[in-house]
Amino acid sequence: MTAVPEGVGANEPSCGESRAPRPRRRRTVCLVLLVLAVLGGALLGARVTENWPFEPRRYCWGAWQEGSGPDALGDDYRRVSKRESAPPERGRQATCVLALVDPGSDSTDAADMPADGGKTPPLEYKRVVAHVGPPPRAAGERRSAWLAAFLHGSAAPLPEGLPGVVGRDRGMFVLPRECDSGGLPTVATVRPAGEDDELGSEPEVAGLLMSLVRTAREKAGCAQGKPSRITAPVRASGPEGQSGMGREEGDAGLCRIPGMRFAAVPEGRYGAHVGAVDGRLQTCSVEGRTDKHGDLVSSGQFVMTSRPRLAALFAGMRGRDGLVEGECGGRRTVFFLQLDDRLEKKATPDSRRVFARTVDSVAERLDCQNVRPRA
Amino acid sequence: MSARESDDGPRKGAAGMPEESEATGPNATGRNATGRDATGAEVTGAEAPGVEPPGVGAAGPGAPGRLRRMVRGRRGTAVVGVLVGALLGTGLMAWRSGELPFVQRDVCWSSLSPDVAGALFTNTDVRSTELPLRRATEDPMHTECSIQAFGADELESEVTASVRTLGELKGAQAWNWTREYLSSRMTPLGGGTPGMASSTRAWAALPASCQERSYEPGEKPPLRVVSLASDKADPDFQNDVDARRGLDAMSRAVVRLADGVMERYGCEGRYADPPKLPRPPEGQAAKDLDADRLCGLPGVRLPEWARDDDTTAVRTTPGTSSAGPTPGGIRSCDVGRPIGLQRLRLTTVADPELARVVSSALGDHAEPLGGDGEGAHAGGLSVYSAKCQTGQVTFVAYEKDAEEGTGGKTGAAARDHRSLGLAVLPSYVKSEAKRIGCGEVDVKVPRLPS
Repeated sequence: MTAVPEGVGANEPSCGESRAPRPRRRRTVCLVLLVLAVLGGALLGARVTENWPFEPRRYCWGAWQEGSGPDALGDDYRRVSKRESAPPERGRQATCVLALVDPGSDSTDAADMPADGGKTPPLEYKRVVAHVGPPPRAAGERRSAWLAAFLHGSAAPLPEGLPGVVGRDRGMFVLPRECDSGGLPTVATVRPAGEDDELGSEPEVAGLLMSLVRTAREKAGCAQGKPSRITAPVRASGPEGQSGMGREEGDAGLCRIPGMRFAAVPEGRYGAHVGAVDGRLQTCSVEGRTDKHGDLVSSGQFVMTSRPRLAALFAGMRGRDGLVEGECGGRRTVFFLQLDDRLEKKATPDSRRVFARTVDSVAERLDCQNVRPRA
Repeated sequence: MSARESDDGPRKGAAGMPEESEATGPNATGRNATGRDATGAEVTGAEAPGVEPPGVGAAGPGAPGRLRRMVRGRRGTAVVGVLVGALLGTGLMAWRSGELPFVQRDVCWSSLSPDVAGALFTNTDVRSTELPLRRATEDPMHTECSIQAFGADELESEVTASVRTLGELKGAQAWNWTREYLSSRMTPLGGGTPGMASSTRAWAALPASCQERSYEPGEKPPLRVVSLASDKADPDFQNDVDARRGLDAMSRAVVRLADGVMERYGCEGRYADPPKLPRPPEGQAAKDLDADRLCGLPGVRLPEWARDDDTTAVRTTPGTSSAGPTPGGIRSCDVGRPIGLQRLRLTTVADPELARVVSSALGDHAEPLGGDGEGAHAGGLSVYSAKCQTGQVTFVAYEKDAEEGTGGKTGAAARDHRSLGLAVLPSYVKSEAKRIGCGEVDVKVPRLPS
């Protein structure tokens, strides 16, 4: 039996024609050759264009994969890992920084050397800073600053009662109890860095955050139980759907809370981002001061929550001013207020009374009992 | 085998006739000695190529062979190929456009499956027609889909689905929607899904993050809702079976409708099917009025002069209580006779976007109301808004019979006509404002003739 290609070449001018003995077999052979050729070409092409389908690159401990992954990372930009610490682990801080660069530039991972010898740096479109770990352990300034940043009023609560918030420029999610360590929960956060101050729309940031959460749970050993998935629509931030722009001013009180009044504040001087206002969570961030760059700086924050995972963010802050607990709707509820020095001075008669009045106003709409400072 | 060999004459390698090159095979079965060669020239007697022999199905040893011959001739093959291709193409396009006959399809922008739509009726012959979905965004009013049930080819009942840009409604249109869709017959859908349902009306709000086009940050998309309507919004009476069945069907259908529109808009996220919802008592089962605690609210009393036979029963939004926040933010209360409950309606709208729509119900001709918030009244309708922790909250007091402004009376009796709505509004707003966390809200109503 002669080798098939020879047979084809010898007896027939082309694969399209068939002649006497077993033309069907010849046709089959031609078809097989064609398919092989196409496959071979495709593989070659894939190799050349780095779309090699069998080993996609993975980033941030495997959470985000080259060529796929959350909408917030998009398809148009190349992913470059800027930093990736050891994987998340109970009680330890883990950080991952991913940059999205212009695909035309030739930056390679971690080397960050421009291909043309240092003339033009790669064009960076966006940078995502992902962090997994407990909030600052000490109950002082660092924890307060962390709370001000991540329970910010410009972020809306996730649906389905999930313990997290997302805004256009931040996302935060509290991992299940199995990942707690030393009394503090493990938290996954995402924030932008660099030029752009936005990560994406709220649904996009939620997708980014939850994919990180799923990987973090696996690595940190709390993947058992209900998977972290969102099916219901993700709300836009701000109770009225205004992304990050829900600034409210109060003659009714800051944060629209009647008791949160500061007698000496000129009207319009301070504005508030009101995040959630529902039966289990209320957040509000006050802004008024500008820093040396002219950016607005957080001047105060109010939080009420009866969601256990979110209440765990306040663990270890016992005895502190501005923190009380109560029972509202049959659930243990935490009330928290922090003010910067300037706003504290403007509180009349003092910040304690302002806090008490604020808690009263909020407790009134929640059917609360036994609201008292923590022992 | 031998019969076929005569066909293996000179050939041009026509690809369409592989069978004829077979020396063996099923195609040879049943053939008689007559046949065609590659050029279609007659090999047998009187048959012309391409002509269907008469009585092709007729008995006779040649008949099946003739048809098969025709079909298998080069021309025949081509014809068959064209026919098959045309059928496939038509079928494919029909399937794509959803117009395949005899196949049940999802109705109303592909959002309601046959069993979900069918559950809205008792008849099984259900048909639908719809306007394009994009009209909901191009045309600021709405787009509609009509689902109709036929019995013996006669229209028996109809449910209308619509997608409406509620955020742009004002005046009478805003009030009509409020009156129909925020009555005390409506139960909140629960489970975090914004919307309500009864056995004859249902609505669900589309999430602000889901729009047909994208909006810039800071640009606020208007509130859009999907809704279903059948028969009267507030029928005087419905039997328990119909009411239960209707509520289950409407609540499920409206959530599926919202999900279907979200799918069309390409959005992530779907509302889950609602649980079995509590429904209001019907007819004589309506709750007795407590004249000193109207609608269960402390401090809200029915004035002495209004305590009469027309005001003995009350119905409040099912699944809500008079203390604590209401999921969904809407609480309504209808007061009157057990059948009808038409004397007075009190509604609290604590959802900020809906509150804004409701507060636009009265135009510039209405009399303003003073106090800690803002409001107005005209005819039997009073609308008052305050700023609360959740955002804008709007309170409504509506006296249906007083729509003409005089309760049908004339002259001195008309001047003496007392507005029950205005009489109750201040205490209602005060009590509800406390419940929602707006602080003290006083309403100043014009002095009433006593």
